[in-house]
Amino acid sequence: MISILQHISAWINTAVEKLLLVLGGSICLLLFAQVLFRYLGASLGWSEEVSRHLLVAITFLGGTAAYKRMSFIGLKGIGHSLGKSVQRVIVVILQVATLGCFCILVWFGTEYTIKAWEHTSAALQIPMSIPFAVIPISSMVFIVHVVSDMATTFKRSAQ
Amino acid sequence: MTVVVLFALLFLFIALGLPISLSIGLPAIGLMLTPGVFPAGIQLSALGQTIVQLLFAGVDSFDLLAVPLFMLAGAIMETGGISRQLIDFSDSLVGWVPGGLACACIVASMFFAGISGSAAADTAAIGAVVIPAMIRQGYPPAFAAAVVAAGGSIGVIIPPSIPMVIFGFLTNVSIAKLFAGGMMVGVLFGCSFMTVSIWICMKKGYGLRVRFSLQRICQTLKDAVWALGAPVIVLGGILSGIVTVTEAAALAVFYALLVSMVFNRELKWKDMPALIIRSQITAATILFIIAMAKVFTWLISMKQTTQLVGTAITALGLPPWGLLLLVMAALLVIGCVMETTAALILLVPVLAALTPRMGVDPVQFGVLMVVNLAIGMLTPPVGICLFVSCGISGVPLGEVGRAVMPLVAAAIAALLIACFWPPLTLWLPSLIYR
Repeated sequence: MISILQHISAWINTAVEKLLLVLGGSICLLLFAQVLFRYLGASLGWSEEVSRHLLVAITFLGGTAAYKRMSFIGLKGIGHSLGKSVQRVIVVILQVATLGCFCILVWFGTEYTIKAWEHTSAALQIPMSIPFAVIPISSMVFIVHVVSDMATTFKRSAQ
Repeated sequence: MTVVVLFALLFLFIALGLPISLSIGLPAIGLMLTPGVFPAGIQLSALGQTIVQLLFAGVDSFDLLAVPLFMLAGAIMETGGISRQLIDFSDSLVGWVPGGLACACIVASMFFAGISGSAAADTAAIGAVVIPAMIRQGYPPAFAAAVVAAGGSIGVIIPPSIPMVIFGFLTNVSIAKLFAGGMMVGVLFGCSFMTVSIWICMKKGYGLRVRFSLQRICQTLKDAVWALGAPVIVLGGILSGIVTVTEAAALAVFYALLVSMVFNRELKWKDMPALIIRSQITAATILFIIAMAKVFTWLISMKQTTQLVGTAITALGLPPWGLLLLVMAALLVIGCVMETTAALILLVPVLAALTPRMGVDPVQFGVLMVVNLAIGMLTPPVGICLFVSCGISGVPLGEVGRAVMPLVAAAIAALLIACFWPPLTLWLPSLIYR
């Protein structure tokens, strides 16, 4: 069960990282094209909006990948000077709090994404639900990673 | 009360080891939805949806697009053999002074700062080449790591600079003006670091000296000329108004690719996916802090904290220079313990409102704040440049932390000059933007 969770989490992360490659690459090409077209006298009206929305996607999806790679900026906690069992309790509390936070974001993120269907974006005239969907989706990815981490913590303490 | 709880939870979570983005986000999101924080008439789902909108709006910005792009350009330059060329060229320029390689390291960091917008990238790119070379020449490893870290901190002062992009984004001060303002301060920083290095090397007899040779300068310049073209294109493009900061970042990526692949032939297409993914994730760690902080600062502004701090500061009755000194001293302390992006986002809304009372121009204040936090990158316990150079050299943080102190003192002296001599920051922007 635990190893299945870890597999799912790893598999999702590989997919997310591939997506980041596509998003990052598109932003570069898009902005390069924007400068080029402006100097050719035909400004692209939509490139700025699209690249902004791609940036939002990079932020949240990249956030999940950073969490998975543990490269989020943070201090080493004071917990590990307090002994192993205290440290484990702290880790569990932090994981539960993180889990709660992303559950909230999935709930309200979905709610708002559905609501935003009525609004359309300024340049492309697409429903705002499309760019907003990245928030509930990446929150779900976060939940998978956090649950997989929690399972690992419990497995370690059971051993 | 809410704000006190908010900050208490923030510091508690950071102390317990939660990543900074989540330490900012968790208490803010939790408190937004706690009954009693907002008037009873407001529906829970309205507040929840506000959170989602704030998170989105926090990073939905054309200016912030420069962050992942400058990260990528720096990563490409780092792998593409450019560091070595810049170091060889710098060594031919200043290698003949006492502590030649230490000075060359600082000059190379200044050139690299003109390409990359991040101090960590600058430290990594220069340090990976210079630290082993300095140790081979007999410099103590701790001193080598300290010099590399100091040089790296210039990465955010000489434009492009990611913290300046964030400051401009938060305050609507022109990012191009901030970039122009950072230029001369960065050069002053480099000169003061070199002065201290020369002094230490002379006193302790560190390092070797090479003969000055015009022929070698020409030779190394020939190799480095394409690498040196990058700052010219990026800064020239922005300051002349041909491209916006974000577009310049995209151009920097393409120029870096051109130099690394076509001229240096050190980068292969198959290296690119890993580089892009890595730089997007590094950028996302910063952007995720910004998104989460949007909720945090919105909650603070709803509780009128900025006005309260303003009133409290006025009650102190300090003269403008006294207030400026107080803010700078506080920032130095905060910079020691707090990560740069987090410090910027949490403090800018409060401090930017105080600038008129400090008697400084918003552009000057932005530069001062970034410079101040750059010093924070050099000071333990939380200093990203120190972390990177310790990682490369294998010297413990405590030893490098002691070795870097004379350089930190030089940096503080340079900061004071920048505080009380406005033309240092404002002359260049005024020249370019009449």
